[in-house]
Amino acid sequence: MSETLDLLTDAAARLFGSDSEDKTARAARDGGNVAAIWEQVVDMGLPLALLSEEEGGFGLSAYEALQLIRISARNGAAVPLGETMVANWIMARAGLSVMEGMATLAVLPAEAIGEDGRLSATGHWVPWGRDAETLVVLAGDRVASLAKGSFEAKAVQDGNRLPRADLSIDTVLEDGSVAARPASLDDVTVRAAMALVRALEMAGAMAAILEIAVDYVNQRTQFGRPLGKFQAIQQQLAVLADEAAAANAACDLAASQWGATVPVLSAAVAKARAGEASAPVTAIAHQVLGAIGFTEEHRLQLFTRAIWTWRNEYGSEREWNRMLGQAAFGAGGTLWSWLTGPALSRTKNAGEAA
Amino acid sequence: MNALVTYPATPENEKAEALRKEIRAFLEAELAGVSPVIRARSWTGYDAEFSRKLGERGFIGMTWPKKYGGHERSNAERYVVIEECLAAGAPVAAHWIADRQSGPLLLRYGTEGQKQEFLPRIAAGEFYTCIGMSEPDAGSDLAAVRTRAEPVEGGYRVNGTKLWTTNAHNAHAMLLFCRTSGTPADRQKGTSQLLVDLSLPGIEIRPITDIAGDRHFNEVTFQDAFVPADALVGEEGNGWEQVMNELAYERSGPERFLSSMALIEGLADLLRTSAGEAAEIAIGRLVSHIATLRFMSRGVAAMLENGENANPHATIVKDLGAVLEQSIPDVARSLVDMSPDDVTTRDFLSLLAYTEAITPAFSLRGGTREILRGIIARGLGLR
Repeated sequence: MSETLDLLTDAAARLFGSDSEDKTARAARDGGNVAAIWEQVVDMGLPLALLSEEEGGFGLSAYEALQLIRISARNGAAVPLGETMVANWIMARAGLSVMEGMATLAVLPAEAIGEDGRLSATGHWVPWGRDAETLVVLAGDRVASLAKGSFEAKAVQDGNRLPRADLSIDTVLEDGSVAARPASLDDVTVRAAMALVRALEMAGAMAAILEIAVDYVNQRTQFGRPLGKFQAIQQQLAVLADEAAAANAACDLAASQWGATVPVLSAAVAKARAGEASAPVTAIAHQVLGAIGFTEEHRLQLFTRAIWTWRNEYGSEREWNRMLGQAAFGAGGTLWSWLTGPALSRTKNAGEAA
Repeated sequence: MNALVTYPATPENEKAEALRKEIRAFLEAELAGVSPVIRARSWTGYDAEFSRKLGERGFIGMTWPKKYGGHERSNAERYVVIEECLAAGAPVAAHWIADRQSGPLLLRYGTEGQKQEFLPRIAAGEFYTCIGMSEPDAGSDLAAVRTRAEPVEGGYRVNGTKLWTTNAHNAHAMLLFCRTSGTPADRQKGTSQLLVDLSLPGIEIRPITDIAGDRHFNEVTFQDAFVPADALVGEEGNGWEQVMNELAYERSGPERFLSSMALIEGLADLLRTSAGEAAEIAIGRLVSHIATLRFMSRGVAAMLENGENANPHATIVKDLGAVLEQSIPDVARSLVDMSPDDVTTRDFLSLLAYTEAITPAFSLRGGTREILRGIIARGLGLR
């Protein structure tokens, strides 16, 4: 880990962890305002963290920058940090200007942008679609950026209350806000990038869940001793720790491979593995926390319910595992020679620039 | 508190990748024509000639100093060699334990004389060891060992019984964990390790056939066996600390999730030409697990290279690896349309039957699932 990252992760953990009552996280779930915490995110320069120094970033490797997404989720922060970082990364690749405001993105059908430069489409389930200052659209061979207000956004009900929106867009793209779409940013690649964002968020939330569960079983006493002293509980928490470790490791594999482009296969591994870990992690945590963990008031649900939404977004285990299976069968040769090939095992130094 | 265990990303090592090509070519030539069901035995398959050839090529004792017959290679290079051996199902049992744990233990705690005498022979693939830990009354509870090495003039007089001793009948020596003072009630205190020449009088090795019909287990009894004083490894009374380190070596490797590659490859071959959605998802899921475990396991190797404590990390890899491997026979059964009376799937069924029969061992050997989870819980601060 570089010194810059150490400073930044400490600062980010302080920032995202500063809200001890989870007011922002709860506000986000009630359609409220998260601008105050976002201002601090901007002050720290986090929206541009995935960019090179020439592009306006501060020289973190992609591996390091992606850790910030995990840290935000681990601290329960309800901000579109991952969406904004990836939107800016796409904008920089397309040669459009980057921004510090909240951003989100939508992949739309190729015909959404007409010959006349008119963007006309509907977008579904866009994260933070009502809140973001900028919407980055990828459609056909174009990338465009739209300012808030130039399209309609209607909140949709997420079962776990994360801010999602359906968009209705009918606008003429302004000069300078549309560019050719780099060939490397095809639909699957963009989906994989956001799948990795969600996997990192799940991994961060799992780290938080593990800590919540360990704290709880150390404090809660029944039958005259802390719950954590019972072997039945210890064995359960070990499984939680195993699965949380695997989800985080899968994300680290993908993050360490992020370079000039998105490592689609290892992002698939990350989303699929974190998604699979989500069931045992959330089930065990709720089991050991008992009835208190089942309340709205307890912060456990801020993490477990977020995971239940995230694991379905940008492809569930089913989609990404199938893609991995197809790639494995398509590669020819033994499974082993493919597994040990560059796509799934080449990693870079943590500090190596992207 | 930081309960989460994380693994360092290990940069690709060009030398190790070059070595991968070399070891792969070697294994391909050596194992040509070996059936999948034999390959499935992998690190329980004994073949002294193969071990000697590996030794000649410099693939044993790879990280040890040259003056002890080692090759001063990196852990990353050793890692490539052992994972390729496992994936290919090479018969590595003869030298495996000596290379993995007895050698490193001697390197760390042994006398200069022991290092000079044994390490070069281990590295040559000619000297094999077995693990003297489990006993009839000391399985998971290792501190309950009763085997006693009584200090006598010029050495020790050993009495007791070791059980489930893999490869004792093929090994030259046992790294014996035993009591040198006090009583079993003293638990960890008063224990030591001796490197015992198994050809000494007073030692009897009785075979035990395993569930799959293979013979690798043994019961080893010591009856007034005289063991010379220079067999002591490390310090008398320091056995517990040493044996915990030995177990860390034992638990750190990729064999904890690569024992079933022969079955996975067999499965992929059967499905490749007619893979439907269910097969793609199931094989993709195995890929996501193995890719993740490899990342974790390579992280463990990198931590060991840097002299860091990787115990919780290795324990988690072993626990997850055993769960995955034990699930593989049923993954296969759910995907392959097979029936014992169908001659086209008969070979696959026999491979499956063998793997099914040995899966219980995956969460027993090298520390049971419950012991491992207890270690993980201790890491979480619960014990």
